[in-house]
Amino acid sequence: MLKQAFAIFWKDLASELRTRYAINALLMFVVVTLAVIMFALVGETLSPGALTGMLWVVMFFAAMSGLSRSFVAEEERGTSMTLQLLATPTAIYLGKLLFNLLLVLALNIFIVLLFLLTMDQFTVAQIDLFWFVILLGSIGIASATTIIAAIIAKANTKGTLFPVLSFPVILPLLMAGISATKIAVEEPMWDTVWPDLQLLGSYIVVVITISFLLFEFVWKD
Amino acid sequence: MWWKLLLFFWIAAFSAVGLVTPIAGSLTELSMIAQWSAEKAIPVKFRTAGEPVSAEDGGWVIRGTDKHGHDADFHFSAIPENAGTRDGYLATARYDTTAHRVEVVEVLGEYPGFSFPFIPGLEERAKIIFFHVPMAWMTVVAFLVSMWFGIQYLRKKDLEDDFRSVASAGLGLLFCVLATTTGSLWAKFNWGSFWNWDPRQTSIFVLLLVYGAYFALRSAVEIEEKKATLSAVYNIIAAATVPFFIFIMPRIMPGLHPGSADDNSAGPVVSSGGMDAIMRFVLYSMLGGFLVLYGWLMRIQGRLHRIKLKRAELAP
Amino acid sequence: MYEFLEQNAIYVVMLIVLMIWTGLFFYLYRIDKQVKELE
Repeated sequence: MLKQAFAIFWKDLASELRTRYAINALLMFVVVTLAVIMFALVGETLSPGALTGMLWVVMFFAAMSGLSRSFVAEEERGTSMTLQLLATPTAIYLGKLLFNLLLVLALNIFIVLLFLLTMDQFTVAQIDLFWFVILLGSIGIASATTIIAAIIAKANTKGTLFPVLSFPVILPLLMAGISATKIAVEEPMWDTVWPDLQLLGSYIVVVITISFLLFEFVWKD
Repeated sequence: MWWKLLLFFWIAAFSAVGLVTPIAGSLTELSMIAQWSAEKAIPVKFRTAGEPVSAEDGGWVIRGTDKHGHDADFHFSAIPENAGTRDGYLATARYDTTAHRVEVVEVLGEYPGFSFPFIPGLEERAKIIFFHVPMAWMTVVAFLVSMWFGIQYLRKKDLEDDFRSVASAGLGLLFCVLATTTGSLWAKFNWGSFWNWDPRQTSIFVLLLVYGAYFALRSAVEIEEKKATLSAVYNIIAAATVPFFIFIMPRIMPGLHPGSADDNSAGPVVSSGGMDAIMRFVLYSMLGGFLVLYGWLMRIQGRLHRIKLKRAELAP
Repeated sequence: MYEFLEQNAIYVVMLIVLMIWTGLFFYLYRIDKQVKELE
């Protein structure tokens, strides 16, 4: 099963690297969004806490614009049937999850690096905690959006429904993530950030478990 | 038929009890209010222990005992009717800190047999609990029932289960909207603005979004079976993540609702089993009433659905 | 209006009850419409 999952992961990665459909669109999205934010913020002084919120907004919508690709592309190319015959649903889910995870991680690291480089007001008090929260947040975003993307791919309207369905599911993650990032950015105290980290961790575990259980129903119709 | 009548009278009676029962404080709340504002009069109830005595300033003073058994002098500006034969009063009053006596502003009536406690800051608005809290609970109940039938659908692939899931989600949406609107109207008068992003407000907002997304997903899919499967899956995913809001976040985050993390002053409303016994009884009775109402509406929807199915079979 | 409601808090609760009634009525109305379609 793991072999199948990695095969699907490599296949997605190879086809993505060949066409660069998602990567190019996402990079453009991030650059444009950051440019708009910076344009609006010229001469303004914002607290790092407020900028944290913006960082998460960019991360969330970047994920929204790119992550539904992996499943929608299978449906569009008509390859989902073949995939159904060749691999177990668990393996497919795992492969897609790994691919989405890689995509989100790369994307979020890129966003955060750009953010740190371009906004001089954005200073981080404890950098290791900050990166750890970003890592957890990325895993959470990838795990929640993978199953939603699977649902979306089977529904008729593809683009608009994805953020609508994702937002309520992802919101616990966003709030815990924003709160933890704020603590890491402003005044790092491990005992105040601990509940948020627990919430992030349990969220990831719950969502991945439930996705594994439910993916089969979405995939086989 | 009989249980529907019973249901009507049940909800009507407990609504009436909830609305009409007077709110009456004791000497504890009187002295508490006196520290904040010397002018503010609040409703209190007390039993009289003895005859009225005329005071130097022309008024009358009666020795009285509040419900906790503390006693004080109650000062009336004019001698109240039947003063000697009455055994107690419900009256608005304020505590005079210099004269160390209670100034009775207006006699409202006899000593009430039962009353709700006076909660500083909430007063009459405390009565919202009988109407708003059942709505919020029914939202969650309807949501859980909807998830339950979603699971049943995925297990047995019976479209009947899908229908029940949708009907419950529809009712849940109704209760969710009611809980949100009633809550925010109340918040305007108690907390000063319609929306405060208190953790519990956030959670009901998320539930509203979930219901919205659920119905948006359903309307986007054409084929019945596919629609049922996808919406059931989404329902279960949402039900797995929403508890973070409903049960965990309001308790670990500081907020305005009773039971929040920084809540140590909620007083006698809901602080860890400390709610007044009569209030709790009325609240649970209302909850039961609305639960049965929910069941009834679900049944009506089910019957309607069956008729529709029969129609579809008979149609050529 | 606002001052009145602030002074007489019981009317706020009354308004809330009224809202709940409106909501339930609206729901009943929709069921009624569905039944009418079947008739």
